[in-house]
Amino acid sequence: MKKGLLLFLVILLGTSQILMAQTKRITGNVTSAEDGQPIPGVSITVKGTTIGTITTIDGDYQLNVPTDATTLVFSFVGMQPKETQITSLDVYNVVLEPDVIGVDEVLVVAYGTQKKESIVGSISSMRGDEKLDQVPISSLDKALQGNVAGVVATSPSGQPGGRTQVRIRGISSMGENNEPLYVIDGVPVLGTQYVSFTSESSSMASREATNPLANINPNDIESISILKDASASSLYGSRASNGVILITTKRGKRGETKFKLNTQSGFSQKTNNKYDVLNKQEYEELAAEAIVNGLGWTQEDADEYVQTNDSTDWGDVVYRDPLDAMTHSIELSATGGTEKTKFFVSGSYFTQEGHTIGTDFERYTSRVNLDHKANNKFNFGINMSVSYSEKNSNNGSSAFASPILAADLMLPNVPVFNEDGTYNNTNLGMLNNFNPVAIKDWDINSQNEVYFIGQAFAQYNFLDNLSFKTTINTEIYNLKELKYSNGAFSDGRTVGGRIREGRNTVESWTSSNVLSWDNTFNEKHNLNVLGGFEANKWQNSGIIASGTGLPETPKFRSLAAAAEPETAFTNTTEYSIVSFFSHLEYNYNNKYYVSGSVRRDGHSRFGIDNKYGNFWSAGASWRITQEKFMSNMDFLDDLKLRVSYGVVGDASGIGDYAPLGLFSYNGFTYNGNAGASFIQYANPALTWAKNKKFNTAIDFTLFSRVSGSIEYYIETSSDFLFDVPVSATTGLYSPSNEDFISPKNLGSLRNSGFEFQVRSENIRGKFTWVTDFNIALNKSEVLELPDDKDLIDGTKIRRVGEDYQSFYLRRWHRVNPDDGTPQWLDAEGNVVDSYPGSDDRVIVGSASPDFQGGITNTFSYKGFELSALVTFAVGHYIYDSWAFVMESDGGYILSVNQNDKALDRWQEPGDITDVPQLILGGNNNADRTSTRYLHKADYARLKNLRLAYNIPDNVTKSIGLDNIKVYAQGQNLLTLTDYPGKDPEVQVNGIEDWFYPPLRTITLGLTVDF
Amino acid sequence: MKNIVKKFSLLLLATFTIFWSCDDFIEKEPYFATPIDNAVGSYENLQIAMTAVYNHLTDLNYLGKRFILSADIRGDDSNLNVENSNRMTSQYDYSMTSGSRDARNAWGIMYRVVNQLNFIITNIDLVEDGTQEERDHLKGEALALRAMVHFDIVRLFAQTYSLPSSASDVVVGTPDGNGGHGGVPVITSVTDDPFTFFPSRSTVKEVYDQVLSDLNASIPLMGENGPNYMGANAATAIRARVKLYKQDWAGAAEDATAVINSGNYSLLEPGDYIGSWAKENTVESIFELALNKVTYLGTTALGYMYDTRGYGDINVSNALLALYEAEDIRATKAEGEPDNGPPTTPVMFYETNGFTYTNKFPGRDGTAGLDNVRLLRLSEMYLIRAEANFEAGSSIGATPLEDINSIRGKRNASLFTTITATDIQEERRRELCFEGHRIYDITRRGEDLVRGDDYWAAKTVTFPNTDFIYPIPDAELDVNENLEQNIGYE
Repeated sequence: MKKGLLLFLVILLGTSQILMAQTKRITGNVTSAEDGQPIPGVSITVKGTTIGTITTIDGDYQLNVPTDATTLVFSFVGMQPKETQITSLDVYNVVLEPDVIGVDEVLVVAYGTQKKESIVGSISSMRGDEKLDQVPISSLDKALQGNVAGVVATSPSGQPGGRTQVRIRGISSMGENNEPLYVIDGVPVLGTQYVSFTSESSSMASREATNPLANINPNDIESISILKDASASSLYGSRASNGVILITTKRGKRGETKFKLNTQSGFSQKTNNKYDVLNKQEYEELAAEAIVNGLGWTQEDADEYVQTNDSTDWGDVVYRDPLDAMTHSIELSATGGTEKTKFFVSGSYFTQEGHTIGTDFERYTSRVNLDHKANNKFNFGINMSVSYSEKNSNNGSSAFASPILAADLMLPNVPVFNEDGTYNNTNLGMLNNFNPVAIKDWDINSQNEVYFIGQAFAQYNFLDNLSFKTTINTEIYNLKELKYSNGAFSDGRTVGGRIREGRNTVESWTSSNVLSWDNTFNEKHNLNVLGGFEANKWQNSGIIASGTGLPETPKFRSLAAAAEPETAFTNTTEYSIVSFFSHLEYNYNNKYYVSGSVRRDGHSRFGIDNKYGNFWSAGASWRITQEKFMSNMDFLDDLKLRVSYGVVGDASGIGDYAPLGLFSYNGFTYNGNAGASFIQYANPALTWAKNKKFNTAIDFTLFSRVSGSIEYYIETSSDFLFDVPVSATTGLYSPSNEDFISPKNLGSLRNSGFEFQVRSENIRGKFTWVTDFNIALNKSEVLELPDDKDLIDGTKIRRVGEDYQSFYLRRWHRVNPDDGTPQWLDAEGNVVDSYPGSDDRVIVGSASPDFQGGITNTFSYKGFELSALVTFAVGHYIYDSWAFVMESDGGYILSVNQNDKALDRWQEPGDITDVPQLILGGNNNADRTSTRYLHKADYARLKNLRLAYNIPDNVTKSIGLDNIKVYAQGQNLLTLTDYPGKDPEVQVNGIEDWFYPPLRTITLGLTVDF
Repeated sequence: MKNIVKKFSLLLLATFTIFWSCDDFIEKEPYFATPIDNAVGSYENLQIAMTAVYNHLTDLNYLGKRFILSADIRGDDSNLNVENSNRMTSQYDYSMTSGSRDARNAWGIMYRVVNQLNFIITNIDLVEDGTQEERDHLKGEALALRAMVHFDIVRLFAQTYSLPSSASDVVVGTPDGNGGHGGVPVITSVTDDPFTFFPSRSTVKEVYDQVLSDLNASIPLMGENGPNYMGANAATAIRARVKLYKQDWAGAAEDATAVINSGNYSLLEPGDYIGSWAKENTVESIFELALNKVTYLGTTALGYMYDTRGYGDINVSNALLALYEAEDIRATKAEGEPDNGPPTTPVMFYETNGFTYTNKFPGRDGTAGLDNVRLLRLSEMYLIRAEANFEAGSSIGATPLEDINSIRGKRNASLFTTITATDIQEERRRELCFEGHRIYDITRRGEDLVRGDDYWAAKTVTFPNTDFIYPIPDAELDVNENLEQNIGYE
């Protein structure tokens, strides 16, 4: 290895000596005739020689040509080649004309950029100005849904600043983590992380995950590329298994300084009003009925017991009126620069009042992207973004102090306030002491975040076609939390009030070093080679302290005031990765393409027996329309066939110290002494999961107006870092998770499917109509499990030959019309009257849709533009995990409210219904886990509707502005579904919880360029 | 220009040399934990491992709450309030299923403790620091605790030791009146491979044999370290209890005598009795788990279930109240505080909204749920000896009448002149109610559970019965095919 270093340096230093030859230096810039934008990657050669170069990302080039050279040839895929005579001038700026439509697209790829036509792998992209600039989203990952085939981005939480689950081509890992890798401006970043304490004793472990991506201003984004197959993503090695999302931020452009102002305001409300709970009259009727049925009381006694003089609609109490749930944002950016220095600067402010009382989100961001060219050889720059956000959240989904839970569970016949104006906290049933209004007024649950990303890069061009780029990336994510539960009621009442403060910091740095070389031989052979080295270290450290015994005061904030210290806890966890990688790409005459990549990763998470992993890919493509025999097929503008195969890895699902046998010190004290408890067995063979990805596709452009691609893929992933259930007699019981598990590499899973993405310019001219449509059909199949034994995980089963997300449940049959008791089916399908045993569970559907996708129609006429995005998913099920409380059999009715399905309860012989007779104390286990609470969840949703108007140029110019756009839009305006629960967009695993519901958001906006 | 090249190359060189020796760069050890070899590599560290054992004993799914509560809630001293927080409902009305979280968590935490103890037991003889006496004590402590936990597991998940052969249809295995039927796995070593470790059920007799063997080995190794830790007397007291369950009457009476005669403990004076429940480590206490404001379980504490400041889910049954004489100090009663909580006057029961609540868990420093867990009190030794002597017709240490009157005298109850088996059991209820005994006292004596109409759920569970034990949890059976489910839960 040391020798390798020496060799590298010799080459590096040696090449710089070649500059000595006698030449003339030519520079210039290449732009597109279509939009005047610079074109990167244009090949420039001296005619009749092998001397050449390509343009930079800004379309600039420089070339040392022999003094006797006469002609320069500029060529670029999709552009008509151009020849320019060399005269005595030193600068040649060239404008290239496009060949056919839609081919000038340049995509950001792993460690570089590429013309779309030359790409062998499977990459989808979104342009920021189309999809992100004007969408009122608090986090950029939420914009992915419905726009890209094969990408699912669900937002089970409508909590402002809440997290999003992103899945590319289904679930590729049976382990914990299926989130893709996020890469911003070339460097992997934190992405969606579960930044939380991992101790068994820390009661904050189960809180809602935070989302660093919510701290990035969506308006700063130039483009997003989604790398799906091995060819596109294998340069990210052990982190590429779940796909890679490349985010490129806006950069400065040469020219006079341009400003952009973007501002919008709007409001939010619930998406679905189908779901409701019982009102006072309904509740009292049903509660009395349950008492009569359960205890044999007379109707009069029961009525007297349950009836009150009060009535409250807790939904109205907990959910704000739309006009109180406002969103505002304002963003100002400037871009400009000189030949030498270019900049992009932006600042933004975003604020959202949550739909639920007590929740809100405020974010401030700033960014500087700076590029400087020291001379023709050396340039450097910096990308720096800092954001700060403040968030007030709900307590977690099933916490008693959660207002969302209160809206469902709170009895509708008790008041919010007592007659004397104090909070009612005593006759709330199960939620006694958890009056959500009182909690909102008194308690605090706040998170403040600071997210800093700083990247400095320098590039040196040893030769016109040989350059070295080094980047150092630093990320700091800081989370500050304060939780106050007052001592008068709420969680803190038994201890005289409690304050819990947490600080959590993620610090990460990455050093990335890439040497790249391009060349064109004999005009037809184009070769591009890169080699690189990367190192990354990540550390997460947290401290939490709590104390009890506080003044009974609303919104108290001082932990120092606590009479009794309670918890003091810290945790630090870290990992490091070291990587070497190389990529080669060759094409012949822009017709036949091959590419190959290899990466070697060493990871601190892997066991000593498997410290390094090798990942690779190979791919080829053929632009059929470049062949002579296709030249008479005029309708076919472009046709390309591509295929790729490779192996990538996944190290994300494993704990930082998973291969080690350990005793933990976290929280095992007794009688004032510290304890250490066994938590895991040593597993030195623990290694990365592998994902073998095959991809083939046809890209086409027809009639100069329809372009798209059809892809087919098979991804076989295996050796997951998986928590396997073990016998509790091994001692591996976790009290916080209530399970007995141990990590192990095992299993195999296949995802295969079709993706179809098409863009059609249906009508052109003054009135235009463009349709973007995508649909993805993914099928998952479990191929291998240890000993081929079923793995049962709550309501799910992993079984060989079955879908990964298969529900495994006892089958609900019906309510017996004769007596209102529940009936189930046993394994053989016989009707049984008592709750079946565990052997009677069967597979009853999957949480994965058969297909899903989105369609966007965009119409424009004069200055108006109307676009509508509809997303849809079909074929999946959702299990409502709290229905056993909300749609019970009367067991809970005196302490909690019920949802309105209870109105259909069985009342007298002959009633045909699915809701059993309500009996206080329960009706024969009718409320236990079964398909009674499993529902089909097909939906179609108007995800986004937007109407925009561009004020005519002559008007804007007359007031000294370049462009003014006003727009109105709505998110989640309409949802078609038969799903009876709250919202069909739940988390990927298809389990409904008391989540913060997704919201309908309507905003008005204004964009001004000047 | 050349200068830049040089500087840049130097920078590169620096970057590369920093990371070139990457093997060190990708080795990481945790901050919060220590490798097993170190954790079990010295007496000092094994002592730290033992501290974690006590921490686990106080887990809410074991002695911190549910194990104790389940013995009483399944019996006839407790009456679950109609309006309850739905904790323990399935135990109260005997509707548990194999998916029960309570069964899974109890199973999990108890075997976790056993495994932790096995780490200590298998390594204590290999370490060299500490004195021989210290190492012996730690080993004895671990053996005795392993016995206690196995005894608790077998009580919860298997039918009682004396299940007669006629009861073969309620149990796996072959009952013979002597523990011949299905028990629970006995774990005495740490496995090398958790993925292939699937023990099967030993018989109840085999479990008891291991329990007694561990206890026998432990007692000579141990001294005393106060009632908050396992010691020789506590181990002897547990052995008395085990032998009582096994109906080894002489053995039970002898062990009880040994504890009574140790001179370490005495029965509380009547004037101290009520106040003692709000205190730590009284003179009666042989073994109690210490909980303080940091470690107590808060809203999941045992006392929180009984206390009207907490869930107030559990009322005292009329059947139990009827057993007391008015002047018995254990029957003192007052109205609860109007805004919830026990009264300030010293009483053992209080009444709120017409329901009677126990005041055995008053909470220290006015904090509901902040009580130590009382596992062994001296009065139980008198009761064990009385019962054992009565059944055997012997009078080892004292006569049954003397022992029962020893307790009654200290509780201001009238003294008996003659005594029956029923008197002894009723005294057990009066004395040990809500301390985790009742259902086992019913089953080990082959009695029926009979709750009358005053209970929210009138219930009769005749002996023998599949309902008297917990299911082996689904989560275990799903993995471990060597285990057979308890009858009635398949």
